Amino acid sequence: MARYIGQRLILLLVTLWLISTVTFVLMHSIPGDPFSSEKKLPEQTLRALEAKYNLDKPLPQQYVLYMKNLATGDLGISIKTPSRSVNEILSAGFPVSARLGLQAIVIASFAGVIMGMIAAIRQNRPTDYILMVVAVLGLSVPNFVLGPLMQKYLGLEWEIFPIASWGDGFGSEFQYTVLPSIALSFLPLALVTRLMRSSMLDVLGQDYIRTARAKGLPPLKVFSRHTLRNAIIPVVTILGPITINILTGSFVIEKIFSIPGIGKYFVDSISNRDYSVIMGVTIFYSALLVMMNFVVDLLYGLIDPRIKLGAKEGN
Amino acid sequence: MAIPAEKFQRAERKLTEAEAIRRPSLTFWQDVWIRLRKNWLGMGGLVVILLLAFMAIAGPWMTEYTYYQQDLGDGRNLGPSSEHWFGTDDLGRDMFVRTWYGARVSLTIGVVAALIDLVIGVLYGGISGYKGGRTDEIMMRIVDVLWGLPYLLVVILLLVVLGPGLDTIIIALTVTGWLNMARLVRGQVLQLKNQEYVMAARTLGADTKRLMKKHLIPNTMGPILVLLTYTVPNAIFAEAFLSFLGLGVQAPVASWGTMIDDALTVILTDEWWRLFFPTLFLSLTLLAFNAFGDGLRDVLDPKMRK
Amino acid sequence: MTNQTILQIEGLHVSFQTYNGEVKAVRGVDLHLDKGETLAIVGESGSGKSVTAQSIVRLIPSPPGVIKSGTIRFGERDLTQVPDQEMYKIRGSEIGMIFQDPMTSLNPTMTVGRQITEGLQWHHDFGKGEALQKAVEMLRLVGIPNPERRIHQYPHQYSGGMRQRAMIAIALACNPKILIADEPTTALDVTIQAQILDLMKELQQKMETAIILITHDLGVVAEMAQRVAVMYGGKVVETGRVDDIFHRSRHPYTWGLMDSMPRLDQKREDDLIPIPGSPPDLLDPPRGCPFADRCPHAMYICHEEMPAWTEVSDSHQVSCWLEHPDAPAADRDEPAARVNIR
Ligand SMILES: Nc1ncnc2c1ncn2[C@@H]1O[C@H](COP(=O)(O)OP(=O)(O)OP(=O)(O)O)[C@@H](O)[C@H]1O
Ligand code: SF4
Ligand SMILES: [Mg+2]
Repeated sequence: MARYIGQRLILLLVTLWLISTVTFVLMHSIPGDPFSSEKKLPEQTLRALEAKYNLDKPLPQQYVLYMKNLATGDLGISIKTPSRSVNEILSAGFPVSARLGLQAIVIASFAGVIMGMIAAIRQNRPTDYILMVVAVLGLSVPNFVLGPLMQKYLGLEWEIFPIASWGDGFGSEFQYTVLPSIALSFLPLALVTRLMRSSMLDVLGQDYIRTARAKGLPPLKVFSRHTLRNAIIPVVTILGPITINILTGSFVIEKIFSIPGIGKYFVDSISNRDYSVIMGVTIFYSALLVMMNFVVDLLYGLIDPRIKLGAKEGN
Repeated sequence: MAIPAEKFQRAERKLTEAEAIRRPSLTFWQDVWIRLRKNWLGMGGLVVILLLAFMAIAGPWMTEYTYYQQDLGDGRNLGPSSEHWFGTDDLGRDMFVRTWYGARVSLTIGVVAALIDLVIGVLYGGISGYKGGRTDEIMMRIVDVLWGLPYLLVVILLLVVLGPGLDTIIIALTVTGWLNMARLVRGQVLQLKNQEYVMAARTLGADTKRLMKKHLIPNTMGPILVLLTYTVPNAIFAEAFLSFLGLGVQAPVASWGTMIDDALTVILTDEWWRLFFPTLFLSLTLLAFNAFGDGLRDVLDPKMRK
Repeated sequence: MTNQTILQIEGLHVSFQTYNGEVKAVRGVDLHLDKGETLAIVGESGSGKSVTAQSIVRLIPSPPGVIKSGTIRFGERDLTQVPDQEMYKIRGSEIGMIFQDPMTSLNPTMTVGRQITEGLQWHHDFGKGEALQKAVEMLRLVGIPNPERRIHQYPHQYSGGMRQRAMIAIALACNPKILIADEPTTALDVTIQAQILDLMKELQQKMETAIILITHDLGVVAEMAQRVAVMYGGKVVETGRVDDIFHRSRHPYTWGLMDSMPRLDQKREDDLIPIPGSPPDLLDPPRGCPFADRCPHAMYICHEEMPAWTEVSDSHQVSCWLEHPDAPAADRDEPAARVNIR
């Protein structure tokens, strides 16, 4: 177990090193320098800027400097708004994005598990079909269409939810977060629902469910003790992919709903080619994801006694 | 009650008849096709895919307009009519032509990306699984590391560097997209190796070859085919997402993603057709591929086979 | 029949509603089980053995399965009629079940101990500690070494034979009057098979349990059972004491079954004579004798009408037209030898 965790941590560091290196190389392979697109800057200002961002030094030296800073958690300064460091942008945006993301994950997993469960129990009946249609819609209507449509109808025309402002930080008022959270949760919700349904159907057909019934346990007990527990296990495995999904989804949703999270900064930084922010966000999110995957694996090992973490892949 | 004596005569045995009812032996793919035909979900998906593909090819030729021809006079923002079946956009371009031209672009991206994934995945996973041992271990470690990378972020990064365009999008999508396929192919190859070994030990040479051809290889092909089916909508979706970020194909070329992105700026006005048509066909495509994938998976699932 | 009878099945019909139509899996089965005895049900795959057994405690998958008609007397009650709540009390406590595959019959994410105690706690008002103690006792009884430690382990930490022992412990924990064992040893290798059978026999004597044993293996029948019911095509075609069936069998299907069993005096495997042909289509079962299509002695009447029961002796009944006084004499060996198998 300890050995396994050690191995995983090494893998994690390698991944992070890889992604930062790749990001660095990619960002510095863009022809010209980041200021070339700007209106003609005076020669002197340009020199000063380049010195400030270490762009006047040879690339290997820049790389070493960048990695050094990275190791201390310093992601550099935004190129387009030099008054702000990338760290500032991230720490301002993160609570907002975290709130939005967490709400979406909670909605997706709870509603998804329940919907999948109901669909499985009512297999091939109208309820099942309706739920599956909803799930398929979630998979096939992109959230950048869904978001604006929800905004237009639920927000502006029927005025069910306010769409005005998010407020700031983690503690935004709940009603402002409802629409974006739902819009963001739609695709992961569909994924969880489908997975839960098939996993549940699989478990319902297992011999051990028959054994449980043969013991005389009433349906509700069979369900809660044997069916549900086993059916939920696979859902844990897609928490990783779902997080990725929510993450990239948040770029869209934050932009559309003007939510001041990391995603919005990221999208803005893409459109005005703010390389240091792009790099910073990429590395930050990669770190987050890699750790998330690690946690999910550990969690999986905990809830499924059959999984021996670190055991060699057998047969 | 008396039973007539002749009833107690020996009756002919119907053995041959009983034997003849046995199902004729079908090849794997014939069997899959027969079962797929009964799977309305999968068949529905397939039919829609074929229709969309047909329209992507033929649609742009069905009217006199081209996807780039502008009409900055009275031709702007027209609703659907007999003249412009899907209306026109803010530059007076015909939406019908653009929608089906967009279908070409989106479907091309999806299919080409999926095929490249397949080629790389089969080569990488195949070599890894076939060689086994140390090679396999190293190759799979590399995959593990790459697996930890956030797919779309890498794609975005690449596109920022490479610049937007049809070719760069496909490159960016496949740089990370082949991992899934490689893992799956490796697993299938390992399984095949095992079976081959077992079979060779048990049966005579000729039979082994036949079995490989008729059952084992098609069986291992099944999951690969299913994954391939799911890769197409994922790539199409990714392209649309990139368009939203301004990293899609560049004007005047249109994809469904860029058309939707354009339309979002006018979502609050009444020009519903701008958003409706590209969204409808994008969603329909994603839906059809997912449905076809689901159907295929059900049909190919060994548990479903009798 | 006698006051020794604890279970009496009469006219049981069970069907499955499928897309292709109604699969008539069990078509009028009569069986009885006496106190403390072992009744073996034999017959080829798909003949309805499992469905019959599972119908007793209404465990057939439903939908699509339905008990169409028939009665199952268990003491005062008719098990086809008792309300669900009462059935939950009977299952596991009065009638226990063991299934074929011990690898899949235990819940992989629950400790073996918990799987034993949950039945105990449901049927008796056992506290947690009490139930656990009883579970340890049961594991020891079924011959699992070190039960105090084993009780906290998960099924994947058990070997196949041990899992089947655990299944037996679960089934017998509440000391049921009847144990239904559906091919309990088919999935195990030969030495383990013998151990499990010995264990069942030993426990049967200790606990005075009556056993319904479903098996393909006539060796197991000879070893375990007092009486045998032979099933074919959803019907019981012959029933009797073990020696009636093994030595004085009157039904051509039973003859075929006996001939297909390996015997010690046989040297080469080729001498095994499988019964040619395939079982009847239960979607559209034959009007007459279900075996008629494959029976070497079949007469015209066999295809048209179901033969009535003939009482060969007190203990031995057979359902075959050959018993009819007008039927020609049948030579058991001659036709079977004539059939070209391959
Ligand atoms: N869930 C079901 N749906 C449809 N048909 C079923 C179902 N379960 C059983 N049957 C049918 O009922 C018939 C009898 O099945 P059963 O399981 O009782 O056979 P068996 O005698 O136990 O065979 P085996 O020796 O293979 O276990 C079979 O023809 C089978 O096709
Ligand atoms: S009734 Fe006829 S067909 Fe059936 S077993 Fe007897 S002789 Fe054969
Ligand atoms: Mg059975």
